[in-house]
Amino acid sequence: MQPNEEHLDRRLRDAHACGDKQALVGLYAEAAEMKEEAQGIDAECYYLTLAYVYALDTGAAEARDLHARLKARGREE
Amino acid sequence: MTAHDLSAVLTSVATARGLPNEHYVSDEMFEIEKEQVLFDNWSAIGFAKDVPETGDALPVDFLGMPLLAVRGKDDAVRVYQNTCRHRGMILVSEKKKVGGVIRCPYHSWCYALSGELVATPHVGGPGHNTHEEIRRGELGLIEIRSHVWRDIIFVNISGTAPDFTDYAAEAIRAWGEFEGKPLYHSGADSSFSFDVACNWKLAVENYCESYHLPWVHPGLNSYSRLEDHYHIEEPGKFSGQGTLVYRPMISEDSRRFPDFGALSEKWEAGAEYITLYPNVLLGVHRDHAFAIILEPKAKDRTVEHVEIYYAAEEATGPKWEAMRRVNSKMWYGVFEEDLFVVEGMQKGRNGRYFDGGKFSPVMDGPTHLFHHWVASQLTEGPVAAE
Repeated sequence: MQPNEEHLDRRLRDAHACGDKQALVGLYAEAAEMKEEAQGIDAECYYLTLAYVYALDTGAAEARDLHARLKARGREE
Repeated sequence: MTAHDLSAVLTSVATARGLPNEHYVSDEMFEIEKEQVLFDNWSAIGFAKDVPETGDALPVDFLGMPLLAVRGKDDAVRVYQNTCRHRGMILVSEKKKVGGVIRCPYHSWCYALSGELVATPHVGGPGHNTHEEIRRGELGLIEIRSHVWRDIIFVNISGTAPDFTDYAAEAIRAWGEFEGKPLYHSGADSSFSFDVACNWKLAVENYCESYHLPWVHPGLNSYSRLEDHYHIEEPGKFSGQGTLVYRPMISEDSRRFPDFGALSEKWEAGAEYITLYPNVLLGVHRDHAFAIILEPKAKDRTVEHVEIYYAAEEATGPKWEAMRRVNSKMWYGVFEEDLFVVEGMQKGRNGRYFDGGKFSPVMDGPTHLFHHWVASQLTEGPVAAE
């Protein structure tokens, strides 16, 4: 795992540990970008999905954009 | 238990007997009444004040049926079966404010506050959130018929009862002067409950009649005598009693709670107390009202949820707090005085030779009407929706 991945992984674990769902939206979106570069669209959409669900769950405005990105990739209605 | 056995109930008050013991001490009969009396009609499950804002979600276990009351973006309260359409997981296990959606804690299927299934993460594999066999339009939350009246959330679990406004039309009309007037609740100081060792019906039966007042509530005798009360009888719908000598509370500095506006002379000194069948006890006065939801927990256990409401928002503020507390304490005391009676009647129904009881032809009319209604539900069934 690259240093920046390790850092992100730690921030994700911390956010989960304290139930900070709003932070998870941004962190998973960040993970999606990181994974897209390294592992391709499936990995990107996996993390985009997590970001999207937490955005829906918290009523975050990012939900609309995340949905559009998933839909554009054929992964959402 | 058969319909034949209830023929003694289904006659006039002068000759009728009450419901047989089985209706109070039998687990089997409790289950039958759950379906035919409580689920087939409009039963109360909670108060809309407990979901005051968009996204407020209140889970209710109503006789084992998991329900979820939710305040939507359109401000309407809806009730859903609190069960995910995927694996049957309970969606919300404690009162909370959800964000934009109701998210299942298991696999995160997400439902809009209006019930539609809006997200099915990874349902087609990791990162694939759709699948041709997952038709979201067919997989929304199961909505339970519900209606809010006088801040009370009613549900018809079976879906077969008439519309609430038809079901309760006579009660709505009887208290038409109060209809549409907002009710204001002040929070914890106007809210209390009792966990009572009795069948829920006994709480109704006691509430319906004034016969017991001189003996069980002797504090009322000085100004509210038995002859100051009258029966309220709407066969098949509701019953209760009224008083002609209600006196609004006056504080030490001579203040009175604000009244509901534009009431007729009847309510100057009048107050009424009715049971809207099956499980709601209501009271109205010129300056406040209350509602008691009877939550049946078992054949011999009932939780009484009491909420007191005022006629004006100002009455819920700090200026009126001390007076509200006195009012709540007064009602708490009155209802507490009834507990030994309903618990005593429950114990008494283990007496195997008790025959349902002989009603007073003069004083027990409202109580007999409730017995008659229950017996009718068990023999004829409710009036079906047209």
